[in-house]
Amino acid sequence: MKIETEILGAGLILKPVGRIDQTTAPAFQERLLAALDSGQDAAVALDLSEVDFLSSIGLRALMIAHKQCQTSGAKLVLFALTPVVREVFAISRFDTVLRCFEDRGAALSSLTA
Amino acid sequence: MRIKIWGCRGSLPVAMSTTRVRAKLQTALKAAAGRKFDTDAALEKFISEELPWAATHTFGGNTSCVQIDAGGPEYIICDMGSGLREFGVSMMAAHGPAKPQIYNFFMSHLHWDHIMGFPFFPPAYIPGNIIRIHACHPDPRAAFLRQQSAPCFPVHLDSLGATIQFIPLRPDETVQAAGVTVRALLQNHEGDSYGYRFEKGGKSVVYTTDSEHKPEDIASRDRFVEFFRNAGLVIFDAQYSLAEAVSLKEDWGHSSNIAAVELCHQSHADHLLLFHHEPAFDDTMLHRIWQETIRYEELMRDGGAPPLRVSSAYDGLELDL
Ligand SMILES: [Zn+2]
Ligand SMILES: [Zn+2]
Repeated sequence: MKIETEILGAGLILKPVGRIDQTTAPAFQERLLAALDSGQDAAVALDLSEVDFLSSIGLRALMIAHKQCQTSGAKLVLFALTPVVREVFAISRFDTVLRCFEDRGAALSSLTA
Repeated sequence: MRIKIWGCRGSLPVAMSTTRVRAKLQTALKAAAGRKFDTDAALEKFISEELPWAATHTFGGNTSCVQIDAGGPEYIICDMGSGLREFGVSMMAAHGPAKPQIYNFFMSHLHWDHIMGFPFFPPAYIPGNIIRIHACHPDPRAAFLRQQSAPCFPVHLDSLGATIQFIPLRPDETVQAAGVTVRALLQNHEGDSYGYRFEKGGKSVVYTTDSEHKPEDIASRDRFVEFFRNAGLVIFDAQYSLAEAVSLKEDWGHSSNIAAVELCHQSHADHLLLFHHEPAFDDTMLHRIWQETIRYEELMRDGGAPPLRVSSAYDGLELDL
């Protein structure tokens, strides 16, 4: 899958494009974990504005990234969820675990706060 | 084929508290404020059509027990949770002590919440009744013996009046039992558990509880998709949210509504029944999860695919296939 990357100070903005499902989740997970792997200063803002489908394996990848952050001290925030993904987050209760923001500005200021 | 839920709760039986009863009363009385009902029928119509579902229903608190009525003379029951007591009482009312019956049980596994109803199953005490306990586990009798011997229970397993037979089953083998075709499948659960697929006359129901589905385990997913293939009904353990199932409660042996919908979609099942409900959840929360699952199914459905019907089990629910 296509994942656009933007370097932003110490952190990264990752923007996956398309569906995160059985086929694409392994590559997505690998990219996300690598981005979070640069130590306790690592910070990733995940732009989900171009993700219109997220299956359980994609959600699991986000949970693994979240757990890695809890151990390493790295930061992960999400922003610009499409309406479908927002609903999926609510139904799966991922909205109670992951930090989600309306837009890029809010996500980035949470990282620098 | 008719399915009746005698117990839908996971892990531990629960009862509704006074606080919850009063909350339901409050909802009903507020909704009825200023209204007048001239007949019982008008009142009944108001209750059925105008009050919220959770104010007029309860999911109930008995643990796993599901009856499968395939039209034959012998009874078929999945698991012996606390719901078995009420099923047994209804059998006594229907048949009395003088007319012997044959009861076929299919055991998902031998955890406490799935066998605890047996000591309170009146037909087990009546000579002439035949109780066949089908199980894939190596020594199911040991679990029943432990439950019904000192110091756990006053009536010893060996002193029951009915004839009790343990019938070993092997997973992936198709057998004929109690007038139906049955196949068992090994599931991921502490100490192993087994799902069952029952078929008769073109109808099929899958009973799959206490089963953890890991999103990354593709081989397991494929086995279950095959097992659920075109099933008329899938009774599925959806005790946890997906967030819990892949984090805090990973390897606790249960699954989510998300896994349920994904597997049912992939296997083109007709109807999903959420089952093994979390004992900590009240009616409002379980109803919310049910409605969210209906919505999730709609969101995830492939364009053009027929909708998967989604229901949520409650004690007393009957479904016809
Ligand atoms: Zn259970
Ligand atoms: Zn269990």
